[in-house]
Amino acid sequence: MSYVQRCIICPAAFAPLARSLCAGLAGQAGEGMLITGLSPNGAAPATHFISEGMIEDSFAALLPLGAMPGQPESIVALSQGAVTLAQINALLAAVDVSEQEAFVAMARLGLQMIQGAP
Amino acid sequence: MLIGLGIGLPFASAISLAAQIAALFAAGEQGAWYDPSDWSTLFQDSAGTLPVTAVGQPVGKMLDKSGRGNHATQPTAINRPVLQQDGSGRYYLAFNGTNRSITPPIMLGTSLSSMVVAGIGVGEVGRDQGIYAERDGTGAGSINGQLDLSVTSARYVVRGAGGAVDPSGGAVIAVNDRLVLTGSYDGATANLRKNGALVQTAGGAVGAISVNSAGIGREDETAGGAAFFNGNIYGLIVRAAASNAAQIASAERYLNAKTGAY
Repeated sequence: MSYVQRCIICPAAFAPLARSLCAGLAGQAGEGMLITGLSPNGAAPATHFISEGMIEDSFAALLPLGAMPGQPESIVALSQGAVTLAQINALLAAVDVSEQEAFVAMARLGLQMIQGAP
Repeated sequence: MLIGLGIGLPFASAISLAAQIAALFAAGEQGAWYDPSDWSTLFQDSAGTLPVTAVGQPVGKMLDKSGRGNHATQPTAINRPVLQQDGSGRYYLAFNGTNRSITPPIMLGTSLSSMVVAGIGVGEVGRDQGIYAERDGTGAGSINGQLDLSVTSARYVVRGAGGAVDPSGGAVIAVNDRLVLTGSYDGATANLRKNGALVQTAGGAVGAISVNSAGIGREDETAGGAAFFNGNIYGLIVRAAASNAAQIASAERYLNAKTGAY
């Protein structure tokens, strides 16, 4: 098993689908992703959610990265038809995937973490 | 005539630092001893089947060396801290400030006696960041053993139904600081120490404590979620018992050897 670094920033509108797919495809290893909210001014409500760290390279290959488009047909097949190709294409077009550290990617997109009350 | 110059070492120094840490739990005290430099305690997966074998690998399970079995795990792959090595050759777990953390069992629980000692590298200031905390998952409820960074200073918080103690402000922090931080509470007085020196004291009774979550690299806050730590953890000791000056000094010396803070 090998892992690669990925930073995934997902628009809030697509976050429920993304979370469901991560958990469905990766099981426990994919649960609990994309829970940290972001917005342009750091105030709620979240416009995006972020997860950054090491993921299995087999799952990273499903996602777009730079000029590589990802594997939407494979995601549909792995989901056993739970999602359509149109849904996956829309998700992969909306999500930002990079190898950058979290705060570098956030700065590039003009986003800040939403801070909760202590 | 021979003149001998005897140099007597203090008894405590004759015992290795590791043995001194083990002694903190010898009477069955609840808590944990986490040591990222000991790769035999690190696994890439949360089940503990795939050992960490190199820098740059994620840590999904970190074993507790205290004998209490309070191993920390992170089932979500992308949320796992990553083992790294600094320029001095010291090993640490890297936390990114947005989603990485690792979860131990609740150890301090309702205890009114606590000691939390951490060797850290600071990656960010200006907001709350949990190094270790046990909480009840609400914004205003119980907190036990919360050692964290609060804006520009370190802090130790214990809060119960009857009040809170919160020594803070005296341990100013800056990005790239390497620190050994110690928080302790004995039911009446909470102390915060930075790099082997007392920097803040707060007195008070807190009443009954009731927590239901624990985290390394985060503090769970319902209002807005969790406050994640951005930085490096070189080692962590948690002890649910009143700790005397010698015990605190042992823990600080041990973690300073891992951290290189002072």
